[in-house]
Amino acid sequence: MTQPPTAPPASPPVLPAPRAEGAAGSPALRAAPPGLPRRRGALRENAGRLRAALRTEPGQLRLIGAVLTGLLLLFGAVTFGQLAERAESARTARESSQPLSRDAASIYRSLADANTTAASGFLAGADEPSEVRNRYIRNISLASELLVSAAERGRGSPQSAALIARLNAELPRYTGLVETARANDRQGLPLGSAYLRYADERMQGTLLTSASDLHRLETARYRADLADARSWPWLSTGLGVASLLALGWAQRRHYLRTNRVLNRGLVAATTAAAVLLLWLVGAQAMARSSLNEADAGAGRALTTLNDAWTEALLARGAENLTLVSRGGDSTFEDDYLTSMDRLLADPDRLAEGLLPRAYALTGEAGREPVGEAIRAANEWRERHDEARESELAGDYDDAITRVIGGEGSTGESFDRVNSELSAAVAVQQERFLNAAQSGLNWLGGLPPAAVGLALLAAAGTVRGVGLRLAEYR
Amino acid sequence: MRGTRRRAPGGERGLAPHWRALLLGGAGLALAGSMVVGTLTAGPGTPREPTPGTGTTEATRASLDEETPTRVRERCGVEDGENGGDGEGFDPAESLTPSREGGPAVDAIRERGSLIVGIDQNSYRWGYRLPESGDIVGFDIDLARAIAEDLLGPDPDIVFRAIPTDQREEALEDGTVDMVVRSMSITCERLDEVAFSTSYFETGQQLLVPRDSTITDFDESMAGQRVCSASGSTASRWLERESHGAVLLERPNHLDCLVLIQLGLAEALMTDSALAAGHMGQDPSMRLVGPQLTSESYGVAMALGKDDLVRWVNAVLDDYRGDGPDSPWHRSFEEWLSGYLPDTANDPPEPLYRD
Repeated sequence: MTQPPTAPPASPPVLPAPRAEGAAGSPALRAAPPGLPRRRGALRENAGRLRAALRTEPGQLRLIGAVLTGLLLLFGAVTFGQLAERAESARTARESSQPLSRDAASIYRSLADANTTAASGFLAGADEPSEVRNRYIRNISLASELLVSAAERGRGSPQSAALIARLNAELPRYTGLVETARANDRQGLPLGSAYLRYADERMQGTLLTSASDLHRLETARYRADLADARSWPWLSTGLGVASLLALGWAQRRHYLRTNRVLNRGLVAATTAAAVLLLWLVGAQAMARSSLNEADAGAGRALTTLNDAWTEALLARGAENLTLVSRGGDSTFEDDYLTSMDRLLADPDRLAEGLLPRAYALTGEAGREPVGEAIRAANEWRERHDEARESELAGDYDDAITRVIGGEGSTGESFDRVNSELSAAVAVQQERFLNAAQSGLNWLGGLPPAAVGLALLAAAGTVRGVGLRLAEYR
Repeated sequence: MRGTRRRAPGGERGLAPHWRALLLGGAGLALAGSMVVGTLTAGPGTPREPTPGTGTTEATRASLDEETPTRVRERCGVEDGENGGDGEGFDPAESLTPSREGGPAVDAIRERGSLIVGIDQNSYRWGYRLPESGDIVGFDIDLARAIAEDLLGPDPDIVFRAIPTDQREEALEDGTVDMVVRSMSITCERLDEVAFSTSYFETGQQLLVPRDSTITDFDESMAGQRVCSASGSTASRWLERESHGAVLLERPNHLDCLVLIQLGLAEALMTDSALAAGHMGQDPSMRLVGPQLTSESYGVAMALGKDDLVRWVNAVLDDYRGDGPDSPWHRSFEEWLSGYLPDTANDPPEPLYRD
């Protein structure tokens, strides 16, 4: 179909004459001047013959058929390409890059929790309950496991790989420091608390910074994937509109020349192309709204909840270390106050706190655990003030009981904040996955359909133009 | 998600006292320089001349310009740059004459029925917490108990309140504590803010190194080595003034320096020999090298104006120091410090009075 009607088999007829003229300046042609006029003559002759053929109706019909078919096939191919790409981005976001970001958040949390638990266990000294010890060990193992899987999955990015390598190198150093602290403390040496402070410093300065960088990196990556999936496929939309316009024009021409209203082939082609274009626009619009919900709705809620959770862990770590430093350092209490302030904010500017913000961002379904977390955090703040009072009054043992003891301790409140936030994050994670899946569903069916519909439209065009051409034989 | 929150090691904390350090450094230089003019008896090559018991006006003089600086003792009331020769100014360790007459401050404590003492819970052998029992023990704590027993009778009610180094003066000023017994050196600067008892311990800045260290003295052998000290401490001022080519590290607490040494991140630490005793108690592979660079006295600190309390504590200290080797001071020393300090520290200092 695509071959030009009257073209002789020799030189390609579409080669425009000016190109041959432009080539005249090349050294090869200048070296053989006698051949030049003859060749130029042949090209000119072919172009002339082509122009002559296009002045006849069958020639024009052939050209129109070729252009329409090409346009429709291009529309199908581009739609396939662009939509497959978007579906792939949405799938990557849902199944690979967002889970990586979630894992990075888990790495951060298990490290921070390990640090907090190490301090709690240290405060309990020889009376360290086995569940505290186990929680520390569990956190460290979880962090190492997640690091291994993150290293496997994040192999593509040298930045993530560098951060993961750093975390892998630092983690054993940290655990070594914690064990040294523990051993010294059991010997009754204040050196133990200095070791634990140093371990905390390594945790804050190196491990948590790297984990936080990793989380930021992975979060940026999945958000970029979602943005890719949401970006409007302008090229395929444009080609779809162009195809429909061209088909419309061809049918109008057909109507004007033959007075017959319908050419079945062209009508079928128009229908197929229109269906494809509508599907494209509709599916992309629906997918965009789903992916928007995944990113701006569940995604933002997740980020804020993760931030709040982190802040709670930092506050708890600082609270414990205030007691570990045994009044030797007031910076930890300041750190606690800063973190608590970020978490809850003052009553007069409540909305600025991370927890209230997370509460506003979570949907109806996920609101309850966040509300519970806010209540528990407020209780924690009150209990902490009492514990701090005891400590300042010199009643160190009472302060310890109020912080790491069982019922009525700040530890109890913190654990509740921790578990409520864990539940809230799970709800939002589910919400994210569902939204991303629905976006993926909208996008996923389109690429194969685009191929089918475009082929159908092209076949219709060929059939329609072929019928008209047959009338000239 | 938020990243780090805490200061870098020895970060901002080291900057604030910079000016003060420079000023003090200048004052110390002027003082030492003037001293060497007055007396040349203690020559440059002379080994350190510890003067236990006296450690006052006859204290050693030396110049920082000398190869081996020997113990420098601060004198108060000497202006910067003034030629404060022998006998000028006064020794910071001078206190009020002892008396158990009492007064408003003593009455207040007795009425309350308890003594609130600011202490350290992290200073091994001086004031620290036994993890098994939770008891706070140490040389400082023994003294605090003796004072409380004298004020309130046997089995007194004592509230030990841990306070950070940089909040000691403030805690006295606002009445959070009645007194501070927390290895606190008597210095001219602090005399402006708090009142001190007579001296109950003599010490001085010294270098502490691991057994196999190549550092032999406060001299060129420190070149290229990492030397750690607590930010804002006398030690850090000395090191800043005269580093001998050492790389200086600063940490919030002198104990943090011991951690760095054990981890191989520092080669030496500088603190006073009394606290160094606690370090050696925790890590027997550490040893003191070189002479004591300064001569300092520990005193019990109280709020300014509570003269009756100061006199009372001085009276307690008189008994505490005692005469013979069987005094409470000696017994406490035997229990907590003996073996960790040079023999010269085996006896309590003589009290000095300014009235």
